[in-house]
Parts: sequence; structure tokens; C-alpha cells
Amino acid sequence: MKPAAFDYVRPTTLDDAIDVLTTWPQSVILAGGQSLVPMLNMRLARPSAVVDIGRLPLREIAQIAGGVRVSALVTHLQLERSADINAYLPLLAAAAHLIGHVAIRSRGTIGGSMAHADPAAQELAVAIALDAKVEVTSSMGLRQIAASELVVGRWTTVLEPGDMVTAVEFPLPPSGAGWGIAEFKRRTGDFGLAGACALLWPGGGRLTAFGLTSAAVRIDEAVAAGDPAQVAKRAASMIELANRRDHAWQLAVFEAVVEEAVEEAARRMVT
Amino acid sequence: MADLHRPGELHLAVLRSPYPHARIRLQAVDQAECAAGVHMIVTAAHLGGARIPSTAPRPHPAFERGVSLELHEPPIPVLAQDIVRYVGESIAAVVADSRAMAEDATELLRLDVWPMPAVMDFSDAFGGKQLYDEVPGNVAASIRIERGNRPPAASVAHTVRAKLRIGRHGAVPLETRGALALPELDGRITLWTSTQIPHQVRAAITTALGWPEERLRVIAPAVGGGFGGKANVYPEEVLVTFCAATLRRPVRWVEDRFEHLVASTQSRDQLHEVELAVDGQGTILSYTDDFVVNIGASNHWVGGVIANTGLHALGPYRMPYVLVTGRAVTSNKAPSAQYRGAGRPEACFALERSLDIAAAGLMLDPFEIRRRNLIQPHELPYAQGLPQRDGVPITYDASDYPAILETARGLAEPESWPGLRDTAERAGKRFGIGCAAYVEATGRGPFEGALVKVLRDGSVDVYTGAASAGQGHATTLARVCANVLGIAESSVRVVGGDTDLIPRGIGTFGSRTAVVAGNAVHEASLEVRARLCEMAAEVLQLQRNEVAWLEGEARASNGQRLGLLDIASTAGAADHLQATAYWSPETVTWTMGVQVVAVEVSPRTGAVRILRHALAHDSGPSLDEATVEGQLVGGIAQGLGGALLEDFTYSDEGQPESTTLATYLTPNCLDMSEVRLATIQASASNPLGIKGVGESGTIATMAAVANAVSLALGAELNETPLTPVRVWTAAQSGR
Repeated sequence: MKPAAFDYVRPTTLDDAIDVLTTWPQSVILAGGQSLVPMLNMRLARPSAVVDIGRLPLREIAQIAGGVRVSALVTHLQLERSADINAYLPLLAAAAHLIGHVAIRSRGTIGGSMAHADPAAQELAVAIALDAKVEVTSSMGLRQIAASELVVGRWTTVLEPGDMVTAVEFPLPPSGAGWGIAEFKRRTGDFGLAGACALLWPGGGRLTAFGLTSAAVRIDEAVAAGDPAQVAKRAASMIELANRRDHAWQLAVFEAVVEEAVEEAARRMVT
Repeated sequence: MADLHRPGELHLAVLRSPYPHARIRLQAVDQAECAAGVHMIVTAAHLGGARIPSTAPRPHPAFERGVSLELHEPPIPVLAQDIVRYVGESIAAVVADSRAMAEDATELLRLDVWPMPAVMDFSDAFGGKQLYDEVPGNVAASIRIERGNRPPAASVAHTVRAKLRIGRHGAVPLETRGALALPELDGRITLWTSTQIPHQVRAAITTALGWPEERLRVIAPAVGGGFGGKANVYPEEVLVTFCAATLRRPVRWVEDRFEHLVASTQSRDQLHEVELAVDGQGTILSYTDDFVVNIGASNHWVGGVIANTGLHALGPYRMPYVLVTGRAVTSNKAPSAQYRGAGRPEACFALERSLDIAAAGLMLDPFEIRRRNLIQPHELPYAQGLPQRDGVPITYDASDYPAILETARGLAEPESWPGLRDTAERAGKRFGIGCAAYVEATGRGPFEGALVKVLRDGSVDVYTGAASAGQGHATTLARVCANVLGIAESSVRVVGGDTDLIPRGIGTFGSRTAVVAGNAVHEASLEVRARLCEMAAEVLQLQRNEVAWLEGEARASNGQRLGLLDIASTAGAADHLQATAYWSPETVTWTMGVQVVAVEVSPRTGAVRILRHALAHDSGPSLDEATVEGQLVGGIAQGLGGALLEDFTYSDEGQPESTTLATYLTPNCLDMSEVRLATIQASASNPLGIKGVGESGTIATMAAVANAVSLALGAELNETPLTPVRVWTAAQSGR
């Protein structure tokens, strides 16, 4: 389980990094390495070059008008422990805490998580829940992609060769909104089999499902169903699952996590 | 193992079969040999089709006759020649300057393939395509144990008939396997390998390669967990040895996790069809258990697997009539071996689930049905009327089984159960209690040896063939020696598993080292103590009987004293102050224990949470309390893995699905609950009075957890692991 040979480049400026990515065919970006390195070792990924962006100045958490801007190399652990994030976006801190184990969170980055687009990715689900914008840099310059439009499917995004996720901008939820995030996993630290992220405010709310479907999906209409149990039932009826053996159980589990997330959000809502 | 290096070392990688069952022809060896950094490619032809011989001690003929044991062991090729029989089977080995280069070269090798249908499950194996000429009908072993008389039908009030299925799981230690072979100047090879059985590795490799045994020295370095998975001789150990000898360079191989999960031995995978007849009071009248073990492509210990399962099917209960029949079948799954518990957890699962089903049928408390059937203290020692694998009639050692049951129950705090039930039910969950009892044969022979040697500086070396894989021999065996010699444990150094330091050995497995190696160390230490006294008498010019050994020194009747160091530094002492003892138990030592668990089950998701976990176990007097506790708690952790998480699954086509630790789920410390322990210390009949404990914690966990979840849901959970899907499904059909 050793990788096939590849070239290794470690640029120190964003311009150099974009330059390398643009000119090197079949290059991949190494950020925290928590998904890429195992894929390299199992030879599931066979890039000609690995561009290590660990030296780029992309480790900032900054307040912006109406939200928070998180640079791509900010780790899950940084998010989980950041005073600013805990003050303004506790949902994001809670989502980061649900990721893997401390060793994984201390290396894995938010940008890597967005670009990898695992169906169970918690921060990506929160980005979709909050209508976050993913900032992408390429040789053409800088553009923003709505988080919900970034993902095409399981481990698949609209990102093109030469693109690099450089930041995520999270707008704050409406003031007074309560939040909740819940997952079902076999063991602490596993990928969630089903997850839900709820935001509730007087007269409205949002619900995002992740883990079950090939990409996280917003099912806000379910919130109108009423109490948490009814929301959960409605939510389960809105999810389309590939017809797998454990279909009925998966929906039952999903219902349970939705109820948990909605209950949590209702508890936190300021009325 | 991965930290062991030698200058100039080369790296070996293995081309493994991607097919569960196929005829193959290896191609493009010449091209791969020319790849960058490649030194050598080994195929089956280079090895003359060498096989790994079984080194497992044969059962005693009296046992084979007594239980109609029949063996048709499948051969184990070092490298597959024409047919591959599981995904992961080794086909060729590449030696190169780096592991990455070796893996690159394996990609250049090509296979011509003629796929054959895969035999995966029991139902495929019987009457399906025969996998080996040597294994008629795919039945590698069979056993029949019958004792007593069938009860008259009129006395039977209730009969339980159940199918109980134990999933396929295995050791999966923290450290994978690995081996490093070094050619010595004198033509010998030194092999470091992560093994539990260095002497058997030496015997098997030298036999496979046609070498004299003296040509190979095998050393087990610090090994990060064995649990039975490293009590086997594997192809890679033969391959690095062969390549090092051929290339005259050190050659190493370190198993990666993928290799471990597809090609290291797995275990369990049993189906039991039982019939338990009880009278109106729940008293057992008869028990029949017909079981099948899916051993996969091979098993070095197939006789042991079915014998151990069969003999432990009787449990700690009075059973007027018992009929246990078992078969082991080959399939196109990975090879298997004994794994911590080795048949006992499976037998315990079948019997203890049956008892709970019977109790439910009679509206009896699960503890009560066991109270009514346990062998009573006055009946012990209890003759089972059957031979043990060593041919000696089975006799359960003296103990107090009912007291152990009540102790375990008390540890689980029955007074807290109503409150726990309320809390669970208020949260929409269910609460259940489960218990399971077991007996366990430990400390099996045929022997283990120890060489105890006083060094010139007054410190003492202990050499034994029983290699440690984390069992704490450096503490326990040192203590045995230190106690006899009256010296500090810190001045005793235990070196396990170096075939040059002690000529014969069996290994560490089967809850045997403390008992068998421990008593060997004890005996050798006594001999050394006698020699110390002899030498002291000589130095002091006294008669031998005028000198006694006390508190680490010789004391003469005239008041003179002579310390260990004084004697050890005497000229000629080094040769005299050493003794080797090979200790053979007359037969096994029997222990007994009970586990009790309280669980909270979510009927919505199928999640199971352990609220209380208690184990009362008759461990005998312990050599080291912390080691005993560590063994019991670690055993329970692995038991929980089997109960709730671990499962080697295969697709219908024979592809392994559990190929990473993200799909093969082992228990982790974050989810492990507290275990409450009580050890009961009934002495065994060996000189140290001790019993084995290495596997004890694992035995009853699956049964206790399944019993608790079944009670919680009013359903029958008869298949492990109790995955959320299975538990949820049971909850849908339960009360």
C-alpha cells in the first residue's frame, strides 16, 4: 500500500500554486491529506503531481459583513476551538467537532472537505444549510460558487482542473435562529450514515440532509410540517434513496436524526 | 516490526489474487524482473510448489476415537500455482529496493484467468464444487460427541429449536504482521517475525524449504497483539527467508492493513442448529448442537477449532444427555485460525442463547434458569465422561459456580436496573439485562520450556519459547522467578521467543503461557535455587543441608550469609547456575465465569448502548492482578467487537467487502464502557495453582449482549454482530 510515483511540489505563494496546477497535467492538491493520502496509498488516485499547498497563507478566520470568511487551510480543529466561530457560528463549530477523531481534525481542512465532497461531510452540509459561498481561485482569477451548486454527486464537484478552493464565506443565520446538527454513526469518529442540520426561527426554518444521499440536500419545506416528529416524517418522505437492502432502516435512522436536530434547534431558538 | 531495519535491506511485496476462485497462469515475469529496482521475482515454480506444513500438535488418539474426529486438512501453498482459492492469496513475490518499487513491479505482472464459481457460504460448500482433492465434499474436519441417555419424551415440558449464527471476525491486532530475514556470515538465516509461535515457524519454514532446522533462527521481537492471528505460519515468512538466502541480502516485508484484512487469518463464522429440552422447572434434560464452521481456504488448526467448539458446548451445567456434531467446511473466503476464545465464544453463544429462549418460554428469570442448572460446588471436581484433546478424561476443577453467577449479578448493580429502565423508556428506548456463563479449558500442553540463568552481575535471564505479544510476560514470568530466588523482579529479564536461546517451544496462545511456561519457569528457578545453595555450601565449606536460601541469599546454620552476587561472581558459576525445565501439564485447567450486561436499545435506529458490564471469573491466584484485569477487559472489548461491530463480509461473487478499517469496524476506546470485574481465586492443581486468563473475557460477551438486547426487545437476536439493521429489524417484529 505505497503510492505510485508522483512529483511533489510545494509552492509558497498562491500565484505559484495556481501556476503549477495550470501547467502540470493531472495534478492534485494536497491540503490536510486526510482523504488524498489514503487514496494515494491505495493507488486509487494516481496523479502525476501532488501540489502541497500547506505553505500558502490560507489559515485565516475573519469577520466580514454579515458573516464569517474561513480560508481554505483552516483545520476542523481550529473551527471547533475558535472563539469567533463559537460566538458567531456555533453550528459550524459543532459540525467540525463531529468530524473523525482529534488527529484527523487537527490536519483535515475546510477547503479540502469542500473539494473532496464526501456525502457525509459535515462542514459542507453546514455550508449548504447557510447558503455559503465557496471561493475558487484559478488562472482566470477568483470566482464564487454557491455551496449547493459546488457538489454534483458523491466525491464529485463542478471544480475544474486548475481550480483551487481558497475560502468559504458563511453568512450568519437570521438573528434568533436556533440550530441543531445530529448524526447517526456506528462508532464515535466514523462517517455518519445519516445526518441532519436544522435552523429554526419564528415563522421559518431550513433543513439539510447529509450522509444518506450522494450529496447533501436542502429539504426546507419539511420544516412547515409542525412539531419535530412531523418534520422528521415529512423529511423522510422527501428523501430519494437508491434502492438498497437497508432502505427502510436508513429512512428510520434518518427520521430519528432529523427529529433530534429539529428538537435541538427548537430548544435554541430565541422566540 | 516496521521499526526493525538492517543495513542493505530489500523490500518484498506480494502479488495477490483479485479472484476468489480461478485457474490462473502468471505472465510477464521477465518484464517485471527488468523493472527499476527489482532484484528478484519468486513464483510457485521457484519454490517447487512448496507448502506450509501444519505444525499444530495432533490431538491424542484416545480423543480422536472418543469423539470420532476426522481430519482432511487442506494444503496451504506458499504461492498459488495453478489455482487461486481466495481474494488475497499470494501468487508471486517481488523483491526490490523499496516497497513502492516492489508494488510497481507487481502491477507489471499479468494473469491469464479462467474464473470458477466461488464457494462462499455453508450452503455453497456442501455439495458444491470441491475446492481441494484432499478435502472430500469440502469437509475438512468432523466431530461427534455424545454422552448420557436421551430423556423420555414425557418429561420434556419445553423444547427450544434455534439457528444461531456467529459472524466472521478475527484478531485484527493494532500491529499488522511483518518479517525481516537476515543472512548471517555462517550461512544461517535469522528471521524476525511478528509471531506467537517462533519454534513452529522455524519448523514449518525449514520443512517447506527442505532445510535442516539448525539453519534458521527465529526471533519474535516486541509484537503488537496476536490473539491467535499470529499463531500461524504464513507464506510471507517463508518468502522473506527464501529471498534473503538467495540474494544474500536482508529482506523485509511489513503487512499493510489491506493485506491484513484480506489475507491474514479470520475466525468464527459458525452456524449452530440446537435443540434444548427442559422440564417444567427449566431443568436441562438434553442438549443437541449441530454446528458448521466456515474455515475459508485453509486453517492450520482445523481439528482444534471443532474440538474446542464441541467440548465447550457442554457449558457449566448438568446435562443428562448431550449430542454435539460439528463439521468444518472449506470455502473461498480468507484462511482462518483460532481467535481469542477459539470456539468457546461460539459454543457459549449457542448454549446461552438457547437457555434464554427456554427461560422466556417458561416465563423464568434468566438468572433463575441458570441457578437451577449450574453444577453445584459439592459436585466439583466434575467428571464429564468425555476425553479432553490430550486424551485425559475431562474433569472440571473445584470452584463455586453459583457464587460466581451471583457475584457477577451483584457487580452489575441490580438495584440500579429499575431506574435505568425508567430513564431508557422515557427517552423512547428499551432496557434489557443479559447474562451468560461459560467454562473454559486453559493451560493446555503438550509442554513449554524455560531456561533460567544467573549472570555474573547477579541478574537473572529467563528464556522461554512462549513469545509475548503484549501479555506482560516481562512482569508475570519475571515474578515467578523472582519469588523463587527471593530477588527483585527488576533484576530478572525475560526473553521470549528466540529459538537460539531455548531449543524447543510451543508458543503463546490458548490461555496457556502463565500456566505452562509459568510452571516451567518455576521449576527451572527451583533448580537454580538448589544449585545456588550447593555452590554456597562449597564456598562456605559446609554441607549442602547446612545452607538454606532465604530472601535472595544463602544462609548457613552457623549464621554465615552469602549473597546471590557473591555466588554468581565465583569462578565457574556461569556454567553451573542455569537450568532448563520443560513442564508438561497432566491435562488442561478448567475455569468458569459469568458476564452480565445491561443495555439500552433504540428501537428507532437499532443502536445498542452498554450501561453496565460485569464479569466474575475464576482466574485462580493471579501472578499479577493488573495483567489479569487487563486480559479480562481487553477480552471483553474484543467480545464487544464480535457482538456489535466486526464482520468480514463478502459479496455473493466472493469479493471481500471489509478491506479497510472504515468498513471492518473494531471497538474503540471512546465507545468502550466501564467493566466491573471480580476475580475468584480457586487454586488449580499445578504447582503455581494458577489458571489461564487470556481468552476468558471474550467468551461470554456475544451471548450476554445478544441475551440483553433480545430481552429488551422481546425478540430473538440470534446472529452476530448485532448490527443496527438487525436490531432495528428485530425491534419491528418484537413486542
